[in-house]
Amino acid sequence: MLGSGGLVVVDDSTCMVKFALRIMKFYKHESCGWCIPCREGTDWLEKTLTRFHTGGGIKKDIDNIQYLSENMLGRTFCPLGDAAALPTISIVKKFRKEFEDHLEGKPCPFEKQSSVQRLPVFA
Amino acid sequence: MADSPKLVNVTVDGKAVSAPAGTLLIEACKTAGIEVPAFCYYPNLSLQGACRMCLVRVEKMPKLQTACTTGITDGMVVVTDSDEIRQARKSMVELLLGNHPLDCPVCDAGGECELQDMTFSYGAAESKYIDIKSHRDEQQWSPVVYFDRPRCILCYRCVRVCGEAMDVWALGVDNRAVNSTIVPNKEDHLECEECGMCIDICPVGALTSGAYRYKTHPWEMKHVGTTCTHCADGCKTTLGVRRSDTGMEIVRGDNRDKSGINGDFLCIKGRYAFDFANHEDRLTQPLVRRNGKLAPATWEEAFALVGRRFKEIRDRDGGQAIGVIGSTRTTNEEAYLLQKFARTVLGTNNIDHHRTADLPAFAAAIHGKPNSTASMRDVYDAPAILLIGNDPTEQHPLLAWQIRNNVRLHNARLYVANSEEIKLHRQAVSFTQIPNDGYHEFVSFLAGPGSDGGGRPSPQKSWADIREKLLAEPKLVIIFGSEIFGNGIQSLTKFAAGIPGAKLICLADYANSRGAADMGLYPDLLPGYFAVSDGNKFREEWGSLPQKTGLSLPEMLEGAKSGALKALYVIGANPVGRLNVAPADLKNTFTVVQDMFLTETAALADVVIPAANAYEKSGTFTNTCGDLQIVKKAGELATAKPDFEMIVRIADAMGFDVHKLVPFGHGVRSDMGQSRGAQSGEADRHGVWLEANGLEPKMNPFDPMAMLDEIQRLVPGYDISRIELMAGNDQHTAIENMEPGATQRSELIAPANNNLFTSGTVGRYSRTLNSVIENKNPEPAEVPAD
Ligand code: SF4
Ligand code: SF4
Ligand code: SF4
Ligand code: SF4
Ligand code: FES
Repeated sequence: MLGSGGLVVVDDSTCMVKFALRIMKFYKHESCGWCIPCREGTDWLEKTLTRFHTGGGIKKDIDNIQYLSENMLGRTFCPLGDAAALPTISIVKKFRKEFEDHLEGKPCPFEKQSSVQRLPVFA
Repeated sequence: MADSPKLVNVTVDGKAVSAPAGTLLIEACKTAGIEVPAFCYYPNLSLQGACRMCLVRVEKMPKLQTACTTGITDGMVVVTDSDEIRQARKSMVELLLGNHPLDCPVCDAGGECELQDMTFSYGAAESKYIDIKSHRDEQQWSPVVYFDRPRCILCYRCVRVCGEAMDVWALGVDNRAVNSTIVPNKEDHLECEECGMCIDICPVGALTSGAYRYKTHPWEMKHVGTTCTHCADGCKTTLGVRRSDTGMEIVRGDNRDKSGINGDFLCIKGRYAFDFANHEDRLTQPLVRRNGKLAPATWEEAFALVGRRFKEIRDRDGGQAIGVIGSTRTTNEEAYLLQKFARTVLGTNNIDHHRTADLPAFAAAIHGKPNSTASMRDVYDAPAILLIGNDPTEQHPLLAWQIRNNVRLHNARLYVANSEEIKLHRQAVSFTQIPNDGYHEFVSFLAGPGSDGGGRPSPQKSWADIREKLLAEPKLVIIFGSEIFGNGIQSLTKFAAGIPGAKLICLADYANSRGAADMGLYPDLLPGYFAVSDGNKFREEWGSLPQKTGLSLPEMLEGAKSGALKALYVIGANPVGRLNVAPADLKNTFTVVQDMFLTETAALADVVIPAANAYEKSGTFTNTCGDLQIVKKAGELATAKPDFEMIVRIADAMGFDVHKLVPFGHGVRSDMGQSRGAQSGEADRHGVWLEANGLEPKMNPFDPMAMLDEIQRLVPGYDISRIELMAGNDQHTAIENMEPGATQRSELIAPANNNLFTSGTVGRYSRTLNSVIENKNPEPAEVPAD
């Protein structure tokens, strides 16, 4: 549905920004650092998503997150970059509204009932 | 070697290209004049596919492909430029700039930075990120190498050049993801050969050198292509020169354009040890001994005094009362002029130099055998190499580089025979340990039974195995150090004669040791190894010449001690320091020294004249292989003169007609453009054209090119293409065409014993070399004198 073949089930109380962030934290950690798009891309996506989620976002960030992921896709040395980029692209495309909500209802409108903390820890 | 692979045809941006199957796409594009951008790709280093700058579209492939790792196949259709591709590259640059400090105005790489160039090409000017950049402080890893981590784009070129090409493996990558970083081998510092290759190859300003950092910008320098003055390998180097309060300062040496015999290689000495030229101890005015002490004098006083005394002594005691010690660091023209001066003006054959190889024996052994010497380029291409003695890693860094990379890139087979397990044994297919005193026995064994090498055939089976293998190696290049001399060289040439296409290299140590020998700085040999007793060709040209063999260097010092030698003229040599001569020995000898510094020898002299070094004058050097190269003046110090000029001035002060010494005024006369109503720049261009065509006006007696005319005419083997030489191309001279000369006494040969970080007199005054030596070894080491 969103990306790399892994399956994660979340309900609609999950903040998709935080979800994207959680995914990016994982891939940033897993990146070996070999090639530019994966090493730098996961880092900037994680930095931007963290700021965005904690209320520091600006409108341009949303496009930028999509731009960054699209520019990683298909251009990295190994498929890890694709795996990081695909879900992010899908999330931004399919849940753009949730991103926009973060700009108004700063910091995170879901924060109180967030279920994302209960997600299983990857790896 | 395999047959050349089959050619395939590919289409790149609509252009048809054909190249051997498997050629990297990025290289195939180059042949079609299409430059594919690259950070991590570097020719002759392993492939990385890490920077993703070289992405191109290959028809029928789902994704963009990296041109640096894709081999071409027949019928491939490639697009290297499109909106999609430009966007991909632009985004890579944007990502790099995300964490990049962009301190271009103070960055050493500014102006010649590949990241700047790519940013310019792909227009990633707008910053997409507002988050904080990662910052790390700059680190000093050695006296030579500094690392500025935020500027590093992780292309791994440094890691590969150090490991693969230098075989030092001092750099690595630590951590992962954005924490990935280049690290030195000793936690926070480097223990390595300090060659600076990593700095040179770094596409950005992440690795910088202690010698150059923060000193200047590339566009503020003049760039002068010349030859390194430190060892006998003769690397081509481009010096970056700036004006300074003393006239000029050399701030950089590199060979980025990869022209010349060394490609982009330079060792620490060529790359950084030009700083001796600006050492504060340099002599700045002539010194004359008055009341027992050296006191400043004018140039005119000094020349007049030397001229008068030399003339007096010659007229009173004859030429045999004067001795001349030449240099291994002066140009061919100066060495030639010096021996001509000694023989025709002073009337003596008492002339010698610090010999580091038995070149006369070499010339004699291969006399009349065409194509029997290898050039430095041959060492890189030869299918097999035999290295006997010497440790090139320390004494001949370029030679070691050529051997190493020939083995790595062309699978050359290297055979090493040495008393020590030298570093190059790692590249060798065979290593033969020779007893310290067994070299001659080894080579006479190679030459086979009946050789006149004098050694008993060794019973050792391993020697027999090696011999058999070597005899089956066509085009073997045989390189030998000063361990082999006299008859040993004869044995080796005899052995080489049994191998089709075999070529030899005789290793001498200093920058122009080979030139000093070829130009006749010998008491019994004229230029081209003609025996003095039989130098009719020269007698015809120069008039009468002394026939009797003169004194060798130690004999001259003996003569000075005994009082037989009344005058000694030393140019760019330090025999007192090298041979520990007692000061009293020179007391009664009128001694004149031309040098850059107050060496042990100069300190005992009666007249000391400050000399320019090879970076401050023009001429030619011959490297140990016999490759002749041009030496170009990087700049001039008002406070020193080239030895050439000083010799001529002294001859003049002796009342000698300098036309007979330097054939100036005989060259092709051409005006310098002045008469052409030259606008600005025109005269310059005309001058460049004249130079390129070997038509310098040669209107003054200090023009070394006038001397080169004579050398090319009279010294067999030096009749190479002048145009090529002037254009900065190495020209291989043929020592085999020279004369068999006379046998030499082998005890006169003393290797220089320099290592990677020493270089006779000049090395002693290099701040960079000294700081590296101190850093490695807190105990001050004995630096060899030359
Ligand atoms: S490395 Fe290049 S881009 Fe970076 S600061 Fe230096 S000059 Fe500028
Ligand atoms: S200076 Fe030379 S030996 Fe030292 S780390 Fe750099 S490349 Fe390696
Ligand atoms: S230090 Fe320079 S050469 Fe080494 S990885 Fe970084 S950018 Fe590349
Ligand atoms: S190898 Fe020799 S010629 Fe080359 S840079 Fe080093 S000292 Fe100079
Ligand atoms: S040059 Fe091809 S990936 Fe770096």
